[in-house]
Amino acid sequence: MTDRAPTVFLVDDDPGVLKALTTLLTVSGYDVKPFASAQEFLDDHDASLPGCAVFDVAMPDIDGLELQAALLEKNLDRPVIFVTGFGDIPTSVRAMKAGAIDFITKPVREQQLLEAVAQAVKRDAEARERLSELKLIDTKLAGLTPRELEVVRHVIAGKLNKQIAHELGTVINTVKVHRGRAMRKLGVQSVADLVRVAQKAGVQPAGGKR
Amino acid sequence: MVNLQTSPPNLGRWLINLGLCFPCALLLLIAAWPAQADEASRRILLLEGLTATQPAGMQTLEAFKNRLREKGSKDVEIFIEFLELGRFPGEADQARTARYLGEKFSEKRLDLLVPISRGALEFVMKNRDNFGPTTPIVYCCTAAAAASAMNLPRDVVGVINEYNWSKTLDLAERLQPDARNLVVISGASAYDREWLQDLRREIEPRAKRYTTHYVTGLPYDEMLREVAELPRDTIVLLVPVFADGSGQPRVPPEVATDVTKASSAPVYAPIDTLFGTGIVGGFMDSYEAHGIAAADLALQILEGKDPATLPAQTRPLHTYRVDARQLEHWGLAENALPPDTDVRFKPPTLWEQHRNAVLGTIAVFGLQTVGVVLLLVQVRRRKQAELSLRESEERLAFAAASANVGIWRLDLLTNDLWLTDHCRSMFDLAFAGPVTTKALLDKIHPEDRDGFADSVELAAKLGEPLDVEFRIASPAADAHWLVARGHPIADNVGKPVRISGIFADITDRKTAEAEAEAQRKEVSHLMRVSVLGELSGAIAHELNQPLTAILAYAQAARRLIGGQNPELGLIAGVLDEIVHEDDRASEVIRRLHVLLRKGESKLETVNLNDLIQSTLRLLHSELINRKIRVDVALGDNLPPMSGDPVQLQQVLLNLFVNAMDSMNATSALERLLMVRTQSAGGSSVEVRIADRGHGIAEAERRQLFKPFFTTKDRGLGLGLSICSKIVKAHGGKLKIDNNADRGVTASLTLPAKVAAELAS
Repeated sequence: MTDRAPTVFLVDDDPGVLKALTTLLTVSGYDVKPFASAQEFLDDHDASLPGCAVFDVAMPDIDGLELQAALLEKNLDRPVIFVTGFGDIPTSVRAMKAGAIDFITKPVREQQLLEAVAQAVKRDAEARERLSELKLIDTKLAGLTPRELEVVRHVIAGKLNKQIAHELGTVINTVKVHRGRAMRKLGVQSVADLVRVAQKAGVQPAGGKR
Repeated sequence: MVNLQTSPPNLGRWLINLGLCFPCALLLLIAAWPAQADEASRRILLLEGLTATQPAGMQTLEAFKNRLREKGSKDVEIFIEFLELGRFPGEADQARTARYLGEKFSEKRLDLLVPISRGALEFVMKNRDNFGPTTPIVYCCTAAAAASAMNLPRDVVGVINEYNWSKTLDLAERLQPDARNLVVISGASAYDREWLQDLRREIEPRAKRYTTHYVTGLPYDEMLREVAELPRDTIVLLVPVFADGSGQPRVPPEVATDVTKASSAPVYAPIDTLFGTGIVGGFMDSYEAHGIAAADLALQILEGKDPATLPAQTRPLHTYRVDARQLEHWGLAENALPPDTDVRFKPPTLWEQHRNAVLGTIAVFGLQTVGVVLLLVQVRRRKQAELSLRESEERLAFAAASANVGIWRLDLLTNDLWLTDHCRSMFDLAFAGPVTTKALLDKIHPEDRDGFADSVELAAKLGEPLDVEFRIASPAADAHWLVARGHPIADNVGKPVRISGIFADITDRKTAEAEAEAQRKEVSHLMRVSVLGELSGAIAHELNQPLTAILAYAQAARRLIGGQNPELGLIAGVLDEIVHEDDRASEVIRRLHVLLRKGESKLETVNLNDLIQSTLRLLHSELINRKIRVDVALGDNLPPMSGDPVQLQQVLLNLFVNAMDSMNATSALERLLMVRTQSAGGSSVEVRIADRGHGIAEAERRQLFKPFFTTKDRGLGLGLSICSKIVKAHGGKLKIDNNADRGVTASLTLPAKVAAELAS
C-alpha cells in the first residue's frame, strides 16, 4: 500500500445517493470528497490530490457533462466516472468521447463502480508519473545552453558531428564538447536515451520543420 | 198688422182692379200694404141657439174656429152670441135679443152670419134686418127637413144635419130583432117638442110594429123611474132633453147619461153629443164635422164667392155609429150591424188601452230578456270558462304528469297542502285524503329533509323562488331524486300567502350527472396517468435514487462485515441509512399511487405548500433533465383549506408540466420555473406558477380551457379543461396570462373554505 489512499471526488445533487456512495467508497478504501453540486466541487477541487472524480450526470445548474467540460477547460486531467439514472446512449457516447473512464447506470453495482474507480485512480497515477518525469526532463533541458540545445536537436535528427559542425559553422571538436555536456546535463549515456528524453519533452529535431 | 196672410185670389183680384201691369203692381203692392190693413178685417158673427153650456154647440163652435185658423184666416174677427132660445123662448124674448144684438153690432159691419142650430137659423131669418139684410148667412146644425121647411133664400146656405131616427131605428131593429116595445123619451120644452115632432114624423109609419110608448113631459125622476122598468125587449129612442117635465133645463148628454144608466133596455139616438153617454148608437154625424163644413162655406163666401153659386145644403158624412161597450152590455151581436158601421169604444185591446204601458212593459221585458240572455250567455261562458279551466287544469295536470311533473300548492297561512295525484304517486302517498306537510316531509330522505324544509321556509319568508333538489326516502336501494320548484304568491301588502310549484323527477338527470361525473373522473384519472406516463422516466429516476443509495449502503455494509474488525456501530449506521432511503422510495411510490389510483374524491384539509413541494419532488428529476431551475417561494401562514388533494395536485402537476413544456425552446440558462404562494386576504390562497417559455397567443389564450385544444405537439388538450373544472368545483379561479417580458403566469386562487358541491 502506498502512503496515502487515492481521493475520489464525488458530486451528486441527491444527498441520499451522495452519502450512500461516499460510504461505499470510503469503506472500499478511498478518501472520498463529496460535493452536493458541481459548483461546490469546482470551488473546492484540489487538483494536486491524486485520484478520480465520480459525477452524477443529471444535476441542476451544472450537470455532470458540463462539469467534465469545465475540468478539461481548466486542463485538469482528472479521470471521471459518470453515474446516471438514465443510461441513454447519446449522453454516454458524449461522456466517453470527452474522456470519461466509465458511464455507470444507477443503481450502481459495487464491482463496476470500484473497478472503474480503480482504473481511474490508476490512470491518474500514471498521468501524474508521466507528468513528474516530464517535469524533470524539462528542468534538465532548462539547464542546457542554447548552443547545447541546438546541438541536441541536431543529434536527435540523426546527424553526425561533422555535419552538425558544418551546419552550425563551427569545428567538430566544439560540437563534441557541447554534445558531451548536454548528455551529462540530461543524465543520458547514449544517443538512444537522448532521443527518447527529447521526444518526451517534445524537443523538435532540427531540420524537421524545413 | 201687415196682411201677409192675404190669400192669393184676393190679392189677384185686387191687382186686377188696379189694372196695372205686373211689375208696377208689385211696386204698388208694397206701397199699398198699410192701406189694405184697414179693409182686411172681416167679421163673422156666430149665433148659437142655446147656452154656452151645451156641448153640441160648443163642439161646433170650436170646430168652426179651428177650421178657419187652419185655413190661415187669422184676419177674421169672430163674435159669438148665445141666444139661449131654450131659456128665453117667447116672441118677446127673441125680439129683445134681436134688438140688443142689432144695437150691439150697429157699429160693426158684419161680413157673415153663422146661426148654429135650427132655432138660431129661425131667429136670424126672422131678424135678419137687424144684422144687415145683405149679410150672407151660413147656417149649421139644422135638420135638413127643418131647413127645407123654412124656404130659405138662395143667399142663405148651410150645413144640414140629419137626425135620422128612421135609420137609427133600423139599427136598433137589426140589433134587437126580437124587440116588441118601442119607447121614445123626450123633454118638455117647446124646443123639445119640435125634436119629438121630427121623430114622430119619421118613425110613425114603422111604430105600428111595436107597442109604442112616449115618455114625454115627465118630471126627471119619474122619467128615470119609468125607463128603469122597461122590459128587456124594448127599443128606447132618446130625443135630446133640454128641459124636463118640471120645466128644469137639462143638458141632453147629461140626461142621456142618466137615462141610459137607469134604463133596463138599450137606448138609441142619432145624436153625436149623446154618443158615449151610454146609448147604443144611431145614424149620426158629428158636430165637429158640422163646424168644419160650415167654416169651409164661410171661407168661400168671405173670399167673395156668390153664396148663390154654392150648394144650398151641405151634408157632412153620416154613418151608423155604435158604442161597443153597450153592445157588450146589452149582449147585442156585433155581426148584426150594418156594413161600414163605425164601432167605437171597442173594448180596447191591451195594446190600445195601455199602449205605452205595453210598450214600456215590452221594452222592460225586452231589456230583461236581453239581460237574461246576456246573463245566460255569461253563465254559459262562465260555465264554458269553468269547463275549459277545468279541462285546462286537467290537461295541465295530465301534461305535467306525462312530463313526470307533479303540481302542488302550499297555503302558508293554513299550512294546507294541495297535491296532484301524480305528486302523491311520486311521494308514494295515498291518493285520497289530505296530506300534511309532515307526511310529505317524512317521505323525504332523512339527509335531505332539513334542507328541503329550510328551503321552503326561506322561500316563504323572503318571497323568493324555491328550487331545491332532494331524494325520496325509498326502501329501494336506488335513490329517487326530485326537484321542488315554486314561487311564492304574495298578498297585496307583499307578504307571501302561498307557494305554488312543481315536483319533478330528476332521477334520470341525476343518474346522467353521476355518469357524466364518473366519466369526468375517468378522464381526469386518465389524464393523470397520461401526465405521469410522460414523466415516467423522471419518476423512475426519483425511485432510482433511493434504490441507488440503498444498494450502495448494502454493499458498503457487506464490505464492513467482510473486513477485519468489523465496526458494528458503523454497520448499524449504514443500516439506518438503508431504512431511511427505503422510506424515501416508499414516499415516491405513495405519491405515484395517490395520483394513479381511481378513488372517490374526498375533502381533506390541504396545505397547498405541502402539495406544491410534493409535486415538485415528483418532477425533480424531470426539471433537472430539462435544465429548468426552480425558484420556489412559499408564503407562510396560508389559511387552511379543504379540498381533494389528488385533484389539486393534478392541477399543480398540469400547470408545472405546461410551464416546463413551454420552455423547451428557451435557452438552458433562461429556463426558470417560479412558484409562489401567498394568502390573499386570509380568505383564499393564491398560487402563481410562472415560466419563461414561449408565451401564448391571444387567440389561443381564449380557448385554453376548451377540451381538446392544445398548443403541444403531442397533447390531448384535456389538461387545462380538467384543471379548470377541478378548480371550479373547489370554488376557485384559474387564469393564465402572458408575462410582461416572457412566458406566462398561471394564477390559481382557491378559497380557504371549499364549497360543498365538491362532494357531489
